[in-house]
Amino acid sequence: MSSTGADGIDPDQGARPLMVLVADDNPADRMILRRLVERLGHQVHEAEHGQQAVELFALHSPDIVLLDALMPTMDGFEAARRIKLHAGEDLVPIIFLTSLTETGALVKCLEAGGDDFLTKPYNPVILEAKIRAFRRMREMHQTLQSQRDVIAGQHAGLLRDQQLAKIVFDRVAHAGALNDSCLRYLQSAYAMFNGDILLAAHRPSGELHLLLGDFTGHGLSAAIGAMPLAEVFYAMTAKGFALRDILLELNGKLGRILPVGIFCCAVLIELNAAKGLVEVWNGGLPEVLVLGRDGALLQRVPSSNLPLGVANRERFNPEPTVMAMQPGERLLCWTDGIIECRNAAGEQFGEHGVLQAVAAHAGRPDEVFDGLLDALAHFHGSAEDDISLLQVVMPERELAQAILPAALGATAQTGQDWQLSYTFRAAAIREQNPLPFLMQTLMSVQGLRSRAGSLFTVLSELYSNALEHGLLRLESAWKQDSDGFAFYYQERGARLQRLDNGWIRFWLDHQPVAGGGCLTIECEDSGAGFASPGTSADYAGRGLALISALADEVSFSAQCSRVRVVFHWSLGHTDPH
Amino acid sequence: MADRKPDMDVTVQQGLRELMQDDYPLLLETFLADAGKRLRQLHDALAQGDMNAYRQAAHSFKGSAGNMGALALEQACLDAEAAGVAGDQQVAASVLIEIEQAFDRLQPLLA
Repeated sequence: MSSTGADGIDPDQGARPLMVLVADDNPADRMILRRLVERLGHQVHEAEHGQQAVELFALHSPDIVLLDALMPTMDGFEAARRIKLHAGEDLVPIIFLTSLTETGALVKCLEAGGDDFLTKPYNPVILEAKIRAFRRMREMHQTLQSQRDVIAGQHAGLLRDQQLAKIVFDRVAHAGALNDSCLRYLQSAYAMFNGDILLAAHRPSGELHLLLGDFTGHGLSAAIGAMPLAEVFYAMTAKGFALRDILLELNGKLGRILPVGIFCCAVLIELNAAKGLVEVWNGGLPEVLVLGRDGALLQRVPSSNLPLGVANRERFNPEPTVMAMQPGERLLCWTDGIIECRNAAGEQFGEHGVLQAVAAHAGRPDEVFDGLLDALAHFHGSAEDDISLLQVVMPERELAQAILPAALGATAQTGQDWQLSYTFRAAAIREQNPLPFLMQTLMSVQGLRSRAGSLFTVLSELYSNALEHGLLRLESAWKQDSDGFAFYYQERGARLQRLDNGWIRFWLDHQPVAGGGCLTIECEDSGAGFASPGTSADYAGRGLALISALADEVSFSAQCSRVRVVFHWSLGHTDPH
Repeated sequence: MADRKPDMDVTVQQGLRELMQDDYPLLLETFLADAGKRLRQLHDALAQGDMNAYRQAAHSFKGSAGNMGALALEQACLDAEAAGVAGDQQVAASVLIEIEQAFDRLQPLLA
């Protein structure tokens, strides 16, 4: 090292020789510079003027350019501009060779893209120092560029993953019944990335189930939780499970699969248009508003539960709030994005902002949804992109009808000749809803599938009459007003918890007949019998009227503790209801 | 002319001989050929009153003179360049004489 150091030869021993372009119109200066650069271990290409320098640059892609400022044909300034243009984002240091001393001329060199100066007469030590410094700078630039390319590649990969997640997320969120005419919703793309999810599906008996959720985290981590959530929600709703059962399953499943710290704040709603009933369960989302037909605020349903995926089964409360809702009354719910929206001054829109916007539209309930969005945009200063907003309007009764699954091509099945009986005793009744289980059995008969909605409704009515009036001895008369309603469902929950004897029996009989089949359902309970079918048009009465309307035959035992319902089906039969 | 710079910087000259080794005579030849060309350019430019061409020739000549260690010649070229920038033909004419004199004194010192 000491010997080479003393000679000043090849100080960057082992480093790759650089390709240096020397452009100077003066041949003696060119000779000296070539020799100086070669002595440092680098290769040299010589150009006699700017035009030639640009051509040689394109040909040899040198690492460093030493450029005389004043040359014939094309001066150094123009050559520098063209070389920089050609180099693109590669760093090619240009060192101007100059005996210019005026500041203005030096500025011109810099403006043309020059990186440094080397003054004549040449000083070998300074030349060496500059070449070394620019070699290091060039190497750093190349490292930076390749790392930037790696990062850009990873970022592109991340974006692809997120787009993929969004596609799956979109499909999950839109596979359901979100186009139902009683719904209006806005879910911005950004909100979706923030883990917001909105699901809607009909039970076989026609009730609409809704889920508005907000996962902790965003992007992929939120989308991952949405998959099982949607799967359970759709599958159980389609099988006819009640909100309570779905909530228990969702909470359990999310709790099992999601890591600690990831959970889902959610509102679940069941809209029963046929009965004018709504069930709302709120776990961790902002309060749900109930607005009257005139747009006035009737009720607020604040969060009274832990989010899904947090509490264990013992601590989890799956009981929804049950409310009577008149046609035209509406529910309004949203996720944190709306109340956490901030304006330029950093203030939050807040629940206060929402309530103000709602109050401002009293008397014009149909304008509340847009009005709220306008108020938000006005507050934020531009359209806010982190919004999930859902509005549910209770439809008119006559518009409400069971959504029937598409009829499958029914083929004659002579093998469906059976009879079975299930008796559910107190412990089973307390813990689970047996209806999806019975429906599963009935749906094995292809000819009955087109009447799944009617069948499910009838089974539901039979079961709830047997349970609520036969076993729990609840009075239908309580359900005359909304206070009574609340009391009725409160009592129902309390008495069900305490139920320790009694039973409900379902007896099913299916026989093939020419071109179709005949299904007989009997439901009997251990209670004292319920009010005779003719009494009144109250809720329990409506239940029985509904059964009469849907089934082909209905008969009651003497004590009215046993109901017998008959369905006939035939090939090519399309459901009349 | 009392404060005239030395005609030759011996240290620079010695450094060039070491740097160029066997090619030193070639460098010399190249320099002398270029110098002759610059002198003709200076004369022609002055005759045509083209002060920009005069300035350019003086600038280029100044660079190579500096590299050769020809201090007096370099200084004369610098003065010529200044005259060219100023567009002063009278000064340019007198400085050109200085350049020729300096170049004449330099040649025997190079060999």
